Formats: sequence, C-alpha cells, structure tokens
Amino acid sequence: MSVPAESPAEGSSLVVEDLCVDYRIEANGRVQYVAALKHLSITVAPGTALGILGETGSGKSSLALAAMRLLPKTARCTGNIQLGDFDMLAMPTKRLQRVRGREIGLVMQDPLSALNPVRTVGAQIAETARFHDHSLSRRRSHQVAADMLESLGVPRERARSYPHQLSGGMQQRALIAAVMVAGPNFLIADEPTAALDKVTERQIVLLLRSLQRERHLGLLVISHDIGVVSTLCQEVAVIYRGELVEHGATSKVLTDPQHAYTQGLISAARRETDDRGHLVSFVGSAVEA
Amino acid sequence: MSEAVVEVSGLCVDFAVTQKAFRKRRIEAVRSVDLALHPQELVALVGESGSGKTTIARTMAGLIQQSAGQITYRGVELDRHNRRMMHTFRKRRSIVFQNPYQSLNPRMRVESTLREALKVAGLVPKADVSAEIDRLLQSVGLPVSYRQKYPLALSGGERQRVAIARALAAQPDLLIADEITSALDVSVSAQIVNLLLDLKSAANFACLLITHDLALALAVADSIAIMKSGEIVERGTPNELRGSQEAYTRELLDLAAVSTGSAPPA
Repeated sequence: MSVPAESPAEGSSLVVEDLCVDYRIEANGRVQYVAALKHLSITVAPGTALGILGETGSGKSSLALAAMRLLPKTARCTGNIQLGDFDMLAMPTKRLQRVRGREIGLVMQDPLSALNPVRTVGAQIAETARFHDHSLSRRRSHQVAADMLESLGVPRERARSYPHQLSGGMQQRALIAAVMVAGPNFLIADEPTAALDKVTERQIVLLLRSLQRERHLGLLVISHDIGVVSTLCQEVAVIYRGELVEHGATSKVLTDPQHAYTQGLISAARRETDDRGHLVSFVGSAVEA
Repeated sequence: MSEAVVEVSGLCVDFAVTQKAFRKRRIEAVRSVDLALHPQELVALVGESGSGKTTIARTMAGLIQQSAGQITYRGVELDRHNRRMMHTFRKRRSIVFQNPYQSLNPRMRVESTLREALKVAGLVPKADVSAEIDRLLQSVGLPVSYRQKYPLALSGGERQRVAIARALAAQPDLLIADEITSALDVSVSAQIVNLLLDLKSAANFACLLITHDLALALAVADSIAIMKSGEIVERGTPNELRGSQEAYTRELLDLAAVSTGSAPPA
C-alpha cells in the first residue's frame, strides 16, 4: 500500500507557546485589534489527545487555524507553534503545503461546506491522495479513496456520490477520509460533531477515538461539548475569552472544576435548572468571577 | 385540562422520492402520530435526524399536506373545505427555524424584518407598528438600537432572538421551535430556551419544541414524545421517561448522560 497512513508512524507532538492572535477590525475608519487568544501555551504529547473546551467566541477555532497557519490576512499572530520538528509559523509556504495534510490534518465543523458540492466525495479524497503521493495513478487513487471510505464505515460505492446525497454522518466520515488519506500523524478536530444529532455524534466520536488509538495519532479536539471531549481526551484545557483558565486530566477537571467558568460550563451542559424551572446559564455570572 | 390548542391524530406523511429516472418510491416519513398541545404547554419532540420530527412540524404548520390523519385547531378540523379556519390557523402559528444564519434575510434590517411580519399578521394598526417593533425587541431582550442592524452584525444568539421576535409578531397560539438551539452553544442555548419559557407564559402560547437533545427536553418540557423512524415510540412527562424501560429511550438517555458529562464515557 502506498498510502503513508497504513504504516503506524510515531505521532508528532504539538507544542504551542505564548500564542497570541489578534484580529484587525476596521470600524468607522478606525483600525482596532481584537484579541482572540492571549498568551496561550499548551502541549499535546505524541499519540495523546487534548480537548479544548470553550464557548463560541472564546478563541478555540483561532487556535485550530493558527496551528494550521490558516488564519486570515487580517489576523496578527505571535508566539511559537512547533509540530514535531516543524516550526509552523516560520516555515516557508512551499514547505508548509507539504506539512499541511501530510503531517497535520484538520477536520472541520460543517462537512457540507468543507466538501466541494460539485465533485463526488471519491474524487475529492482521491485528489488529496494524489497531491500527497505523486506516484499514485489516477485509477489507483480512486481505489485508495474507496478503501479509505470503507475503512471508515462508508460503503465503497458511495465514493461516487456527491456530498448532498450523503447523510450528515456519512458526510463527516467522508471528510475524515479526505483528511486521513494523506496520512497525518496529528489531527485537529474543530467541532467535529456540531452539525450532527446525538446518535450520529456518538458514532463519529467513537470512530475518531478508534482512529486515534489505532494510528497513534496526536489529537487536538476543539469542542463545546463535554461528552465529546471526555470520550476522546485524557486531558482537557478550558479557554475563556482567549485565555487558558483551567488545564488538567479530563476526569479531574470535569468532576472537580476549580474555575467558576468551568463550573458554569459543566452545569449548563448538564441542563441543570433553577427553582423557577429555568436552565442554568452562566454568561454574565462567571464573567465577574 | 383545558381544551387543546392544536390536536393531531393519526397523522401520516408520505414523500415521493425519485430514485432513478421514472422510478418513484414512496417514503413514509411519519406514521400515525397523535399529539395534543394545550395553552402554555411545552411539548418536546425528540429523535435523531431523519426520524420525522421536522416533517411533523412542517405538517402542523400547514407547509406540507398530510396523506392521512386530522389536524384540529381549537376543536375545528382543518381541511381544504374549511379554508377560513385554515387561514386563521396559519396566521396564529409561528415557526422559529433551526439556523438563524439562514432564516433571516441578510439584506433586511431587523426593523424591516419585524415590520414585514407585523404587516402580514395585520394585528397592529399601522400607526402603532413602530412602537410594536420596539416592544417586540424588548420582549426578547434586545436593545431598541438593534432596529437598525443587519443580521450580519448580530451573534447567533442575537439572531435567534430576532427570529423569535418575528414569530411573536403574529401573537401566536402555537409556536413551533424546530431545533432552535442546535446552532448555538450550551450557555447561549440555555438563554434562548429560558426566553421561550418566559414568553410562553407571558404571551400565552403552546410550544412544540423539536430537538435531538434529550437532556434539554428533560429539563424544560411538560411532556416529551420520543420519535424513531416516523413513529412515536414512547411519550410521557420527563420524570416518567427518566425511568423508562423502552430500549430506544434508554439508548437516548445513556447518550444524554454521556454528553452532559454525568456518566463516564463507554
């Protein structure tokens, strides 16, 4: 098999040091910078999984984009991101294109917007396979794509389907296939199940977990869902307003949260209600804490 | 209990699906479903994607024609021979859709969106429309200054509030909330659901909450119907369902326990 993923390689580590991301905003002719991440440092050891918990706007996705060096031009990014031996922020673009995909893969949130609507999923996976392995023939790459889909629980013949013909769960599997076919050692999953219902979510989470264990992948899971993070990750980091507020073993952080924000996040996820029958919502209450 | 606002009995909905050219198949999306909603009651319809939740909502809203079964509004059966009642019902039911990023017209200011809804509902005299827009915005917890904003300038939670304000413009008897929180994260979705609970008693409407999140339904609903493949497999109050022995309900309960972090992942 010429697909690099087939040989279980040693996973890479991801080390983020003192990462700051600001977005440039022009309002009424004035230029402002809004901080999305403030001096964030995290480490993901090879073959382990770290979960990033936080709300919309906490800066979670900026971290994913920064690690892939996919931030828009309006973003200002300082600090250091080291993937194995690669310096992700300083590397020349040409080399970066080889590192992206082959060394580090990104599973995005909404498969229907991540996949190309006018090409079959098989063709898209095959394209990725050929981009990373030029020795693959066109025909062979389509076989590789079908194999990949099959190994992720999608019937082979579905390779000829267009994204809109697949169910949400299958779309997400196809997207994971397109990422995995390049054989990355490290995977970033940015809200991998946000578009799915609870039953399908569970299947995709278990799929990611078995992939991570089989291939010894380093995994960074970005989510606001406690169930997703607790299933996939041994460690969890909680981000609030761009800052790391809590970090530790998942079981410990979730059972005995120290920071008020983490406590609020957990009680909101549990759908706890107050004496008036209202759901506990912590925006505003945790802010002052 | 008081008379039901809307009652559905034996509801079936079929779709014709073209598989290949000239070969058509009928899919039974909903099979003999019974539901009743009383004033101020919150009924949750819970099930996975494709279980027929949204089809029921759309049929109840009159957007899809049922293939069998009756929908009764205030004791009167709605059918094509009773257009006046149908018309009244359509004016007095509102829908809030799943994705506030898609359900608001990006080229209309909040003000115009609400003004249009008020015009269609025709309940407020023209002179009072402007004051009513302010009142609607305040009732959903948005400042009056938001009148001039475009949806693009609003966050997901704020957009959903505008969508709810638009739904309230019709002074509905029935509000159908179709996965209104699935595009939002936990804390914002809690605020939106709380808003719905407050408005439900203030504006006196029944609410059909459609969701795949059983934990949410257990927390806020008066009664819950669990759907699978177009049928209701179990129904009951949250407390009854918590102790359910039905296999599919148990599966959903276990998933809810994992996703809320109250049970260790398998």
